[in-house]
Amino acid sequence: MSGFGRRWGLATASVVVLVTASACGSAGGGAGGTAAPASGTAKKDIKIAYANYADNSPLFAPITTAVKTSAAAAGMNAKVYDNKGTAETTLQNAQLMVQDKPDVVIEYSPDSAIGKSLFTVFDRAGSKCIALNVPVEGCPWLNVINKNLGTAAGQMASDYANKNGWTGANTTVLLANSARGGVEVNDTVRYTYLTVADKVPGFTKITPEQFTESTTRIAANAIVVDGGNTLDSSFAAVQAALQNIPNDQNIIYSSVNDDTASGGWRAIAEAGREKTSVVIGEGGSETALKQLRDNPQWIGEVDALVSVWGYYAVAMADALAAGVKPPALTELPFVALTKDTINDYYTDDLTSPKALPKPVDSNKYLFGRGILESYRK
Amino acid sequence: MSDGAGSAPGALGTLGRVLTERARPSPVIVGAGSLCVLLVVAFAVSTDRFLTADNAGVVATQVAVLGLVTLGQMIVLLAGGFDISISGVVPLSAVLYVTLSNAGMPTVVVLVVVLLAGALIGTVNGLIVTKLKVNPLIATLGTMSVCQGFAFVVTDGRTVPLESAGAGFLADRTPFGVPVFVLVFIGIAAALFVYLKWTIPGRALYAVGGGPEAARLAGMRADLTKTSAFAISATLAALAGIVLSSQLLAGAPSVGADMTLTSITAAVLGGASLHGGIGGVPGTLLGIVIIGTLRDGLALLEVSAFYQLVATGFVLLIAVSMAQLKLPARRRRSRPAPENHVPDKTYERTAR
Amino acid sequence: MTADHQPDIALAGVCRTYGSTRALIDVDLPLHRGRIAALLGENGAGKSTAAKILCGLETPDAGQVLIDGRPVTIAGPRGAHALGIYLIPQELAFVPDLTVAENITLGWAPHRRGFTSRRSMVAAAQDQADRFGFDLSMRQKMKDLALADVQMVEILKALRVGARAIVLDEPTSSLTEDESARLFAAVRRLAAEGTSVTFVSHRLDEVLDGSDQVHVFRDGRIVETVETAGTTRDALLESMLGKPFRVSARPHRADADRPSGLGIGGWRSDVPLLEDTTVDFRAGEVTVLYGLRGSGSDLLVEGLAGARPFRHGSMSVDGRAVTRPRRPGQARRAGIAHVPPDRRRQGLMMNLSVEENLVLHIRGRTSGRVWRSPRGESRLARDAIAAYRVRVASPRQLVSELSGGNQQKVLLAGRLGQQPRVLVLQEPTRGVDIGARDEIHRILRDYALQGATAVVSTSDFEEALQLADRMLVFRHGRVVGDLRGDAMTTALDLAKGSST
Repeated sequence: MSGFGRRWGLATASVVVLVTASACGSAGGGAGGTAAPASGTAKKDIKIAYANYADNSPLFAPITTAVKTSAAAAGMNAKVYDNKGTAETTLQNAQLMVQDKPDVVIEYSPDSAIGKSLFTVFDRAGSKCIALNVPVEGCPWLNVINKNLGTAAGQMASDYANKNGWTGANTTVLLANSARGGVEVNDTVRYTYLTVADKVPGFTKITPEQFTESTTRIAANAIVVDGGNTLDSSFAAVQAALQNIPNDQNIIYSSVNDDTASGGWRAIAEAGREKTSVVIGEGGSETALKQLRDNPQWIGEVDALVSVWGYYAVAMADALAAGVKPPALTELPFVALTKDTINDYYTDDLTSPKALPKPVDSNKYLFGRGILESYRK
Repeated sequence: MSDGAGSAPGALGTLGRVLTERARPSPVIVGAGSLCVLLVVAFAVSTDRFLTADNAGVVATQVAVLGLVTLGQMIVLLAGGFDISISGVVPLSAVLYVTLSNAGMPTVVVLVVVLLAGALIGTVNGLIVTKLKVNPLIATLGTMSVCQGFAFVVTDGRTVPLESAGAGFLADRTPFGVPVFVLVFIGIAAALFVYLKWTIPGRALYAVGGGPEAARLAGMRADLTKTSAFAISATLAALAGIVLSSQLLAGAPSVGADMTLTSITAAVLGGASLHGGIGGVPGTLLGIVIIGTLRDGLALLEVSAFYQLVATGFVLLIAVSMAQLKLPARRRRSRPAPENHVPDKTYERTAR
Repeated sequence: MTADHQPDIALAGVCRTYGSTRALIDVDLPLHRGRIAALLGENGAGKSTAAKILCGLETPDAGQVLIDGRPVTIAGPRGAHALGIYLIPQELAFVPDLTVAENITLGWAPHRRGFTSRRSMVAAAQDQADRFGFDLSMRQKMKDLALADVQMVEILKALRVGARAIVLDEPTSSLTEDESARLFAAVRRLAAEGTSVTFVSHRLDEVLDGSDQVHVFRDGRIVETVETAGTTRDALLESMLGKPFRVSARPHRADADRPSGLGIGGWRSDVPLLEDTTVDFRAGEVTVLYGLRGSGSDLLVEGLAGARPFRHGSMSVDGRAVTRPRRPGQARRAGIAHVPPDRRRQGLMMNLSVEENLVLHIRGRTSGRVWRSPRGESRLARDAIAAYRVRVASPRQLVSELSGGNQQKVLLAGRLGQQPRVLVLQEPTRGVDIGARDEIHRILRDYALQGATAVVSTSDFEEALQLADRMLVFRHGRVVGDLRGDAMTTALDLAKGSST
């Protein structure tokens, strides 16, 4: 009997060990990348930790890279983690991060709902925290405001329309939202429309609340489709929607990211309507910037400059560690690029801008700390 | 929708019976067929844009891409398997096609290479399932992950535009008003129809899927047959990936993620059994057309994405339940007089 | 003597009709506490229907079920359980991954405030087993058990609430000799405790050995009820068949002029056991391999078919040496066709039509390697349906819709269509009605008479006697008898190792 029991005990123990080990392995998948302080710079004796939204996405991967580069340049010790886009991994990573007692934790959480538990973890460990893009209740927020991106896109569309005589009478606004992506994500297309309706005659004026995630038609000349997140889903959605737009109408197309902008644009081109349509992208990916340079109908690109977010996050961490009291919301930079202004920000290398944009009120305290200044140095 | 679906078997009952006696289509096909007609009528009544040549073209192009993977999925289901790897093969072949074309390889060569890569992945799937006796769900889940991973590796996670001129020829318009790949799809569907109906290896799929042990004991090459099904499926998925990248003029590792589920849905709508041995090209085409029509019609009616999800789920449930309800009735009709009924050992086969 | 007392449970004037078939006609069946009753009869004679009515699985069209002389209505299996009547079905339902103790205590596990402990469960199950003298290892997984033990677990499950009657449907159909003996010993103890035991069987030997009283069914009626001690094998066989049974009724040709059809030399296997076996099967005759389950007869047959390859031994077909088949396909190419015992799982494609099943393995004959010839196949199928008198509504009908007998004919016709030189069959008429059974036997004999070699393994002794020109008796992995003619009636004793 006792032998029997012992065998079971052993088996159970080994299972527990295995499970724990694999859980830790998967959770800490992105850990271990400690940036070595570069020699020759003033060494800041600060430990920071960064948990990225998801390393396997081309959109988010550059953030980790920028965090590592900028921290290394400033002589900081930075550890990076991969949240893999899931709430569970994020919580596990939070536990792992605070074990090293970092001075500041930068959290890019995939889910705002777990903010409270994240803050509890950081608070108990005595680490200061920064919420990047997605809010973490209790941590100061470093965020790009989608509303502003959308408004900028709407402004570019309005400028084009007013210059070329496009009005609500001869033009349809076609927007691809991401119905399952949440309210915040869709603020881009929401404010794109509100701006166009405000600046161009002939479009129905509505309040932001009237444009929800399940809105499909705002007016005869304003249509919203669910383009999802990917090339193929936006292609199919726009292809079907074009049936409902008379052929003599001009089309202004915009969407929530560059992939859906490209997919939808392909559907417009496929239908042979690219000559009377224009597209404005959101994001600033290499592909989209290339389109902005080469494609006459790709008239604008709202560039969220994600490749430099890491610099702003590290600068903010440095400020926090130095005892600066940040505002509740610190704005991340973005630029609205047209064919005329793209060369102000990019050379032939379209992966990252040649300089950072000017400070705005909420983020000017990040400048002058030697970190943003180290960009491209 | 529900009362319309309820009246369909009555209205089409006579036609159904005539068809049953002549060609014996499975009741699932009769059910799916009625549902399809019903959807077309409903959409034709509710929007005047539905029954137009332009819209038919849109439905055809959307159906063709999904159709390629669904035909493959159906063949694997027939052989008693399951192919999850589609969601990996589609993006991998899409990015491979774009990357190799951009590297300057001739289009024909790229096409062959990518299709062969698909066939190879499918063969590996088949060998893992037949030789290593791994459950097909797990085996193809593994290859899906591997392929998706490689798709990210190849492009570094980015969306890569297709720059090589002529590489997107599959999406070029033909004189018939539809892109080249729609004709390719029709050709493949016809070929598979012939394969499944008139060839010996094709019929072997039914035998191996329906009675794996019986097929083995009868000396059939069951492993070969099953592996061929996986190879066909992955090759078609690779073709679908090529078509997608031709159409989008770009390859991204994120495309085709929902194709596995949609293909299983469409195949099941078209009467394929998850237990193997039952299914066919006509039913599958019906299943695809139902899904395509539904998506297109709902989009034309500008139904919100959330309600589209709900509606698609309901249609699947209705279609599959209709088939289940009709099955016993047909059985009773065609059962011979019980002149020799054995009350002792009656092993009733559960309805598939 | 006991029969004079009032029976514990009885069927009185029970009739049951299925469609146009009268399965039971005015049956009176008294069952007594403490006694073992056998319901004997051929397939389709009505014995199982009677058992099912007792257990609430079927309801009688006319007549009554009496308990202690009072009429009762048995509402399904649950109603039967409430009355203390339990059926141990032929196909057992159990949870393979749970232990014996867990299966025995399934649904009534001893518990304290909702918690059960492995130890108390094992103890409770062990008590239950000890009560009836069943020897079981409580911690074994069900799936690792021998079939007889599984059956005992089923009985223990049934007995937990004090069953007054237990009905076993063909309990030994898949048991080895030892297992049967153990089961019957257990059943005997049950009866001694005062339970009424009834078992359904078509095997004379176990009826003679295991029962106190025999009810012989034929064509839906009980034609005879006798005390087992007061009857003989021949008397029972005669009343079961309705006519005197004589093996010599069939003409036998002298065996000297028959050439060798299938020869095996030095076939042996260690696990499961088959000792060095060398046999010359003659062309033109039916050789029956008879033995209890596990005796080696099935093993040899599966080896011949390539379904379970042997590692040692040589082989020849029609005098020409061939390689010992390692896969079913090799056997097929050597001219050997195999009819496996389970037609639904191993023989037919239940998803396909009758026509397709008939031509599946021979369609190459009407066409090339790739293209089918639908018209040629239709013709082949039509011919086969006519030749073997398969009753179908249409050749396109699903084979799953046919009765067991017709399914078996389709399977057999499909294999004969390959025109094999050697036909290897296992349980060729299991679960088949009498009419079809006779036809299948005739088809088999005719095919052999045309010069082919037929090797049949069956656990049904009557079938063995009816079919065999020659009988090889297997016991403990060894051929213990090579019999012809009237000598074949001794096969039963040879197979069991008793000498009477």
